[in-house]
Amino acid sequence: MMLCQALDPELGLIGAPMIAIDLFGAGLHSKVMVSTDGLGARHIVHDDNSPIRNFIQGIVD
Amino acid sequence: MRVAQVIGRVTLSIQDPSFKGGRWLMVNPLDAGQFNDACTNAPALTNQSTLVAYDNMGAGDGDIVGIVEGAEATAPFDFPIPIDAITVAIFDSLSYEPPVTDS
Repeated sequence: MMLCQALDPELGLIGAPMIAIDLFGAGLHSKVMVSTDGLGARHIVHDDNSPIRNFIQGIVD
Repeated sequence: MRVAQVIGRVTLSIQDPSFKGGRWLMVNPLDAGQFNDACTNAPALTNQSTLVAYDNMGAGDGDIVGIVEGAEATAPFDFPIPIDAITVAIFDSLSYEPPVTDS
């Protein structure tokens, strides 16, 4: 599980950190896209009863 | 999921039947600056709103837990249950290292 925090247009941190599951091996200070779609997250972990919501969708180049 | 410290328990004598067997904890969300040290030294209370969260893991006072709020809080249950927040993890350690900026 990764601690992630939203970025503003100048790539400064904004808002409160959130915890997301990571399927791609994102490293420290990677720029990632985080989805907050709970249904999608449950599909990804193959568990309809998982309470997870945030997951890393991809690592931004 | 948010990070919070367990600061107390709630006990009920009359409650919705779907809550049978559950425990309730008072949890205070942490500020980001407290993450690194939180699992070894009890962090101070923050100004964030304290929540009452359903607990199925046996978290105790001072534990640092992950809490899920909203619709996903009810996902672990196979029946309808009116809860807003649930504990989903007890953390051993957290590492928060925001990038250093020049500004």
